[in-house]
Amino acid sequence: MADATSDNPNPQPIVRSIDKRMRSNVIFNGVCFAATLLALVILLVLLASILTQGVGSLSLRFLTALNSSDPHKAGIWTSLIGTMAICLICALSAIPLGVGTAVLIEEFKPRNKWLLRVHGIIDTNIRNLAGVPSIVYGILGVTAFATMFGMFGSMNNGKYAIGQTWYDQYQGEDKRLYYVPADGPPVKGKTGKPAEEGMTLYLPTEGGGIGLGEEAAGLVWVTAEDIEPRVEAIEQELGAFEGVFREGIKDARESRRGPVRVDQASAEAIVDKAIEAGTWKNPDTSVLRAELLELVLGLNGKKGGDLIKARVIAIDIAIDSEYAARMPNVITIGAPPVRVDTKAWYHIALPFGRGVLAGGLTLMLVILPIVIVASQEALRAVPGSYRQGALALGSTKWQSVSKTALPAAIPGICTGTILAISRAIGEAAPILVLGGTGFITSPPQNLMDSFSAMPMTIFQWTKEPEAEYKTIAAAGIIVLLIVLLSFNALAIYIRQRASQHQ
Amino acid sequence: MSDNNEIKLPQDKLRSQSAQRIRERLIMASLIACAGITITITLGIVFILLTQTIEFFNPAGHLDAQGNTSVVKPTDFFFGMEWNPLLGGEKHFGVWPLIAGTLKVAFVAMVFALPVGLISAIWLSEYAKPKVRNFIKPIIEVLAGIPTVVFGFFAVTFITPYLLRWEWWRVKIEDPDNPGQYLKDASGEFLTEPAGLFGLFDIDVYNALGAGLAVGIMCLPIVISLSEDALRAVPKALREGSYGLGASKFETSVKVVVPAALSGISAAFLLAIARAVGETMIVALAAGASPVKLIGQGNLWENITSAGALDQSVLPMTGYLVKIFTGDAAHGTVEYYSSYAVAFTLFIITLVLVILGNMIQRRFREKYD
Repeated sequence: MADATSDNPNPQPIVRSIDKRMRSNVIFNGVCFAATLLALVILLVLLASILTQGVGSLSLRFLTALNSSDPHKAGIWTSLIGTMAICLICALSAIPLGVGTAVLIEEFKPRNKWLLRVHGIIDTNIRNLAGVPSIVYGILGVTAFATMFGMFGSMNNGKYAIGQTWYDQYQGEDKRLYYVPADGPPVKGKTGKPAEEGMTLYLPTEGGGIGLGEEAAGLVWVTAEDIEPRVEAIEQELGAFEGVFREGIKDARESRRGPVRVDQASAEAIVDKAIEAGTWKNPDTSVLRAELLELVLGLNGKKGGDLIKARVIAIDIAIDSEYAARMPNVITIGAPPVRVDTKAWYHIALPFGRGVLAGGLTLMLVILPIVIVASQEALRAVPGSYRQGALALGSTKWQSVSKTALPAAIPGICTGTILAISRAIGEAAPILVLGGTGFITSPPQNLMDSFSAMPMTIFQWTKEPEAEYKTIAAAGIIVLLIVLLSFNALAIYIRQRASQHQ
Repeated sequence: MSDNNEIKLPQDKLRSQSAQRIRERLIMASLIACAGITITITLGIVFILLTQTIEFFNPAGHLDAQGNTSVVKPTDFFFGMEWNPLLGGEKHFGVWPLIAGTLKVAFVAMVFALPVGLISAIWLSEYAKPKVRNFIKPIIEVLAGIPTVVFGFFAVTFITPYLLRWEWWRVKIEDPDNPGQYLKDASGEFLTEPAGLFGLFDIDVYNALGAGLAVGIMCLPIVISLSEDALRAVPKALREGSYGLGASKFETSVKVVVPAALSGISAAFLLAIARAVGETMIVALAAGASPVKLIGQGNLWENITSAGALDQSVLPMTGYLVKIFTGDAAHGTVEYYSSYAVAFTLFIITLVLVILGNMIQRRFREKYD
């Protein structure tokens, strides 16, 4: 172009060309600005569409309700707790591992030529790992944590369990549950040992949960055979009552073979007379009286075999009334027990299964390279003179790192780490691969418990065809974004605090 | 107190030196352990994917969901053009239909994200005033921090319904009996059909176009921030030299700054493509579940154009992985192992892109540092 202008004595084309060039500059500026604006507009549209769809379903009930198959009842609480649990495990494992690795790579470079080469390979590899799709980490997590290559058997039958307590659960004839400590998990093909006389049973823990509550004192009979002689003894003692009751209904008949005719007054007379004849250990006979009265009034117009049946029922009613008073502290247990367990929050078994611990560790795999790279960059940003100064003052290598370089890098490490964890909060693919499609309604109770995380729940809700699910998915997204925003705000706050301390 | 301490303090220090040495050894050991675990994880990924993929190609075969034994040869997998592992009948485990699905989505994403991202980056780096840039950059970082499942939701509830509503991409149908007249339905409305153009606008509910646009939006912040870093790393002297020669801002940007930052920009593009290829949640929600048909549709041209159609439901590699691991296949079946082979392919593709990107990026950093 310079040649063209020097050859041409007429300056006109240059002026025109400058005009054109300036115009193209303005146009280009406009196009570039429009592209940037497009990015902002998309963000706005995205947020607006989610807000308009979701804000209607957002309520305190939605925040605190468990997940449910009914979209009107479903809430985010289950997955909110799940997300917190896995991200806590993820942070607790990724931060020490990541920062430790970064310190070693950045501060302790080996002098040996070969080690230096290994060092270089590791350094590059970590950078490359940060770009591996997160779903690949999910598959790694399933294989390494959830199933552990099948080394310890199947997922539902964990070995080397800790934090797990076993009980034999007996059901009494009073429909209550009783517990006895047991020594281990159920053995296939063997039923639990039946209850024995004199065995100490425990009531459920407070609130009716599994476990040992108060001691349930008393004798225990195992089978109906054991209980029979004692019931027979009570029956014999109630012989006088039975005789008077029988005579009473016989006398109420119209004729020898005729039907029974009773009214309220005569029925009451029969019942009262019979009760008076018996000897009662249970001082409260009002229930007994009411039941017998109902029985007798029901006999009106009946005859023959019905009367014999009535007598048997009457004696049963009487035994029921006397049973507790004559045999206090007795629990009758028929069936053999069921082996049940309680799990402490720290319950661990191998393999980990599709639980919280496996989920947290899988997320750790995803964010570990990010934490390492962020920490490396923070350490690299600390001037070398800090370390040299410390070394010159006679400190050891570790002292120079821990007292100068590391504290100076802390704000950077914090920021990088918190951003990595907010990535973990929003990460769905590895969790989805690990957790499967299980429909989880309750928050996890222990490290091995199955869980649902917020992005996973949002995915499941979005996949449902009904429009109601779309609105609660949008509400879930709003909650997720608020959690992420507050997390990022925390990062900024910590960074500012840390840099003020410097 | 003061006198005693002043003498005592160094003695304490001296006495503690051996303890200090032991402590340092322990700390070093734990640091090495940390690095060891990290390296184990790195190797673990490769090990697991490799062993399970080899297991997939086991010549003894594996049981499939129907109880038959299937044997898959590596050549069938890596060069196969047909994929139907879950249906009854003859099974085919050729990975190319899945790769084609991934490429379709990534293609749409990149057609959107690369130009828009690059010129946004040019504006931010060359044109925007510092105040404006400091206002806009955090907003773009917000976009980068949004979980991908949210973009998936956006694709399903906003982008695809919007595409479906674009009536003006449809054309009126000419009446075959009366040329120049158009067919109408009972209520007098014109009947329409999709406008063609590779079938681009006859859109399924789940389709590559909607998913691809969402992936593109997701990749946009990566392209913008990495390209902007590359542009800003170009020394000021180059710009000033260009201005000194009388170039306009446009000419300086396009003819000086962008070529100087080309390696950084191409690194940004490669990393963005890697993200798009590995993106899972958007694809699992919005792309659908039908593998691309690469064979059996006539001549090669038809195959390519049908494989290029963006309106249909496609099954990318990541979509298949989600499908398998969320319960479509029982543990130990051939379908289950096939997912490892697919994951391995995906891993290799993204790793190559990322390694290339990082290599180029490192080189350009060194050039101007």
